[in-house]
Amino acid sequence: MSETDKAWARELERRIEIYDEIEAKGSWQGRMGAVDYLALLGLTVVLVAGFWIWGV
Amino acid sequence: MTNAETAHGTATSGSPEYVEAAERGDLPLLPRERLWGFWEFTYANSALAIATWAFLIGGAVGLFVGPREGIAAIVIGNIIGVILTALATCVPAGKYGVEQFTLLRSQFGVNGSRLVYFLAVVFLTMGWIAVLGMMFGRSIDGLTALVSGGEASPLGPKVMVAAIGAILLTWFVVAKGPTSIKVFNMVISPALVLLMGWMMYLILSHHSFSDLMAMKALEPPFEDNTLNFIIAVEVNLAAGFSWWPYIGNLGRLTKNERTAFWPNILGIFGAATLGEIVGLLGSVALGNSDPTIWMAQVGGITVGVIALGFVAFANVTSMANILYTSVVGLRQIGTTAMRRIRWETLLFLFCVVPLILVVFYPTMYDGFFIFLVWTSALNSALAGIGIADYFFLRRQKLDLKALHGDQSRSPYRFMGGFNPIGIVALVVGFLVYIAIFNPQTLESAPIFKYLTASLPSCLAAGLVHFVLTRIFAKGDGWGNYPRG
Repeated sequence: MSETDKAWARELERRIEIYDEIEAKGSWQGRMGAVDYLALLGLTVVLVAGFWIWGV
Repeated sequence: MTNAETAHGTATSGSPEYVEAAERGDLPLLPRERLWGFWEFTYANSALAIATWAFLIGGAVGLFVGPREGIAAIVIGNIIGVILTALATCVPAGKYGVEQFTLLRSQFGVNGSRLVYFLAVVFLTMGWIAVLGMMFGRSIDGLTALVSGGEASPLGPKVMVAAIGAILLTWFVVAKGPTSIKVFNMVISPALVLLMGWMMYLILSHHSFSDLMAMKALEPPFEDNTLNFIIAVEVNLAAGFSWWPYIGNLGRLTKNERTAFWPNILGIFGAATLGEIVGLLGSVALGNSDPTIWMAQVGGITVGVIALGFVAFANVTSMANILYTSVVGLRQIGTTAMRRIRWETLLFLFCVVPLILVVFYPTMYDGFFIFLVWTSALNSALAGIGIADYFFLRRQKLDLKALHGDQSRSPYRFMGGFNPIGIVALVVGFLVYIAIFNPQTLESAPIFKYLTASLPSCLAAGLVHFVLTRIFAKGDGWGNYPRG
């Protein structure tokens, strides 16, 4: 393995460790939660049902 | 050339060279390196969605149904398509900052993701470049006919020459690099919003809203209005799913999952819906689904010349955006030999098929929605597989080392770099689609009127991927799926 490849592997490892740390602490910022999924379900149902009734 | 070599041998940990490599997609972007918040991403994907294809899709909807049903079909099809596509692509990309086709290795393997790239991105982009090139040609033809007082000739040699010129101009712009595309975007996108507003004003100044809503479809293919309406919904589902190849790599530039997901509703859904509604109203009110025809009639010679001239060059922006994104992705997933090909040469090679289509298949423009709907047979299945794999099988956890490390030893290596389960699921989704709805002939199974074709295809592909993975994906190198 060349020096370039070793440096690349170290950088990849460093980035992975940062994500592992976030995962271990459970500190994902802006994570999609139950509220988000319920909101998008509600939005879809309202738009689909509303425009179906209006348009058809 | 390896990824490491492209990032310079002397780069130190956290150096700008590695940040650049991460921005290109060679490494996962860290949360602090990501540039876009909610509004930045909303603007970026609005700029992508506000394009001339919105006029074309709106016009195609007007062939099947009148404006009232058409607006309903546009909203229903796009909201479902955009949400399913954004869930499959933007949520994982926003969490891990991983390039979309690198992320796809967890679903299809390294070679499987290359295959998917060719099927979903290369064909879709080449098709759109050809259609938009022809639209450029027809705009120029309509414009010169307006000025000279002659007749437009949509299949004449002038259109072909102008379309070839548009594709070569696009090649030249993209070969100059992303800065020239950015300049085009900054001018064209806001101006297209103004053009849409202006067109809407002109249409509403000639017809009241209630008159417009009472108008009939231009060429409804069936006597059954419900069937015509569902075909219009299917065209819009296809439009929503057609963002699958593009939005994941934009989502990875955002700060987190929420900012990767929600702006798609405002940007992609909102902007595309607005553009399509203008296209729909214009086509039905002026009696022609081709925007290059109805724009020439909507407000007299001066308005027609300005609108057509502007639409012609807006097409170049749209073509440049998708050509650039696709060729960047091609280098990303490509082999060492492909990475060695010069940027300008690779771009030109990508333009060869669109040039052939322009010369030998100019009627593709008039039936472009057939091509669009065909792409949904793949894109809807890909969205289903993505949702099943990331949310239900992996429970939203990916192995970054397996995605970016040596693929010959990766837990995501599957069989020779192909995940046969993902590929079988993709084939099943495709077959379910064409069994329910034939985009070429518009023939459909009875179930189509109740479920469309994209939704069963999405569900079938996801379900097959989930069940077969649970049964067969066991052991080393078979995806490292969590158990229990």
